[in-house]
Amino acid sequence: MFLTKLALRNLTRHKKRTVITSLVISLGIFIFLVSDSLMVGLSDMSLDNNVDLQTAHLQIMEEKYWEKKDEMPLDNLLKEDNKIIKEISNNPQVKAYTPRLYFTATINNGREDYPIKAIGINTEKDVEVIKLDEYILEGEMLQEGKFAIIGKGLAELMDFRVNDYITLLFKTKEGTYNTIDAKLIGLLDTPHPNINKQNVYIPLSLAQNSLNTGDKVSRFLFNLETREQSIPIAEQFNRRFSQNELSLKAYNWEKLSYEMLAMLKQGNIENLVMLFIIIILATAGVINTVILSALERLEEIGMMKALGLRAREIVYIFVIEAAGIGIIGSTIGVILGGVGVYLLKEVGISLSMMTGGETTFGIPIAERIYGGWNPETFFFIFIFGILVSVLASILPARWGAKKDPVKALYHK
Amino acid sequence: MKKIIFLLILILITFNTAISAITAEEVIMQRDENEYVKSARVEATMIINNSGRELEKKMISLSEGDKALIEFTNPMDRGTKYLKREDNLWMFFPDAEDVVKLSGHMLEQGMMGSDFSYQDMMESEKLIDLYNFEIIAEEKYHDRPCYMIEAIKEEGAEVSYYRRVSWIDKERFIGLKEEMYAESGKLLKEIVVEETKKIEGRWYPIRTVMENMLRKDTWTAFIIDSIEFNPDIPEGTFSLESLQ
Repeated sequence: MFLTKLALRNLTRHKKRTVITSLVISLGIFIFLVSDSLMVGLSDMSLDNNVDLQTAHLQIMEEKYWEKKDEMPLDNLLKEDNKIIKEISNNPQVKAYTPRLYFTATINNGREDYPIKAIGINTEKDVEVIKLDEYILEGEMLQEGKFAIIGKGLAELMDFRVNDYITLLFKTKEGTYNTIDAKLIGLLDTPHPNINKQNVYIPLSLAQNSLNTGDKVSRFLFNLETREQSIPIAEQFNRRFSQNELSLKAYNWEKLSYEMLAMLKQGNIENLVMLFIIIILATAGVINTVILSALERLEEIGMMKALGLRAREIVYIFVIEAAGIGIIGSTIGVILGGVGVYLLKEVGISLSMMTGGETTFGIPIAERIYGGWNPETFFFIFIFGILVSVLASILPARWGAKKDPVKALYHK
Repeated sequence: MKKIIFLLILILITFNTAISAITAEEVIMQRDENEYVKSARVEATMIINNSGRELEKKMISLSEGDKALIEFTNPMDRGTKYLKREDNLWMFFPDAEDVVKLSGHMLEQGMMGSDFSYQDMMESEKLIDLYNFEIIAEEKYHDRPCYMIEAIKEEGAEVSYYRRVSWIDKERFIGLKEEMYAESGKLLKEIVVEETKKIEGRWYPIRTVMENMLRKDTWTAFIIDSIEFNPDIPEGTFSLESLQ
């Protein structure tokens, strides 16, 4: 107990040094917590946006279509009036489903053209699965007829306003050029930048007629009661398909967001790198402090040894001192981090401010990122901060404790 | 006697009709035959106009049957090469030092930023099997008597343009103008032959202008500076190795 008291008193004897070392640790912890919060927020928001606005909970398509889905081909399509889809949609977990027809096209304003992703949607059913109607910035939601809605980013780029006519140029199933002149009746402003910049929505029937695909669609999108159910339900659907010897397959949102998840994983690796930097920062700070205090107190160490203290006990004093610094640093870091994360969660941070407004690096988030809250990280980093300073103190403490008492006393 | 005169008149009328009733397919075949080159070495200039900004590109092309090698010679694009073999197209960029095969959507892009898409350049002379032709009018175009021929895609045929309307010189069998339409009826592209020349006994388009009708203020002129028919083409000219 005496040794612990002595160690803690040492902390207050060199206030400046204690404060500076603690601050180094707390700064590292703060940066880690804030960046972790950003990553969690980014990941949650990206997934939410992607699921809510692009993938839905589950999709059904031909297996061969899946392999080439990024090219949005016009072969391996499904019948719109599909018996098996109707049957499986009776599952009580299925809230709603909708057919979609995806194709590539260029949008034209009479002066220039721009490649886009065109999507034929069922004007009644689609809003039950993908709530695009909630993001209409101007005009109205898509209706049947020669109408289209596009994102505001694309509208700005091509200088389109509501009630203008857009021309879509694309190739039909047979590779023959065709065009659609459609009246722009609505502008979308979604939190998903790709939708704002790339997508053009037209009624499914208009797409089918212009592409000569008959009553075919590319995929069916499903909304379930909860996102978590998508894995077991997809498995259930797939069993049903294989029982009926169909080449259809259900893909859950995780599979559909594969690329994005890979990108987010990359983000987690970056977080590990950040953690590593913090370890180095904190270790250097703690080693420095312990060596300095050992050097300054060589005489004291000699005296303590002369009084009969063993090397182990001297190491103990230094380790406790370092643990004290760790606790102070971690506490300050966690408090600062808490404030930072709270601000991130409530106020958010403007992505365009961070990137200069030009790009979001393919992250499906428009404008503001809000931080995520991860209590486990707080607990982990608090313990981690203390552990790092304790471990970092052991070696220099042993170095100090090994000094010969006579030489140590003679030091002055 | 009356019967004989009647028969003679009938024969004369039938004979006359038979002479003038050249079918649309025959016109197209004659044009193709006239414009078909077994092998040639062409030096040409491409002028790309985009909203008043003009870019000039020079090239040398060697062709033999359905094979062609184009090399750009103007300073900006010097060394850029294209190789066409049957339905395949490869490109070599000296900066990237790599050969790229163009396929899919890439073929719909304009060649070197021009209004000629790669696909337009690739389209070979198989059109006669893919379209139904019909002479819809006989009229003068720039003082030349022409057949106005409409081509509508055969059902199920895989072609880029649904409908084409061509003005073909009745005497010289050379296409003077062509309009290409989408299935919706929208005019997409227009090619106009602004200058023709008699070379080695046949009329040949010398200055052709392509306009993308969906874009404003852009056109591309393709001008043949010199043409040599049946030149000596070294073996291996149309190999992938010759691209690098």
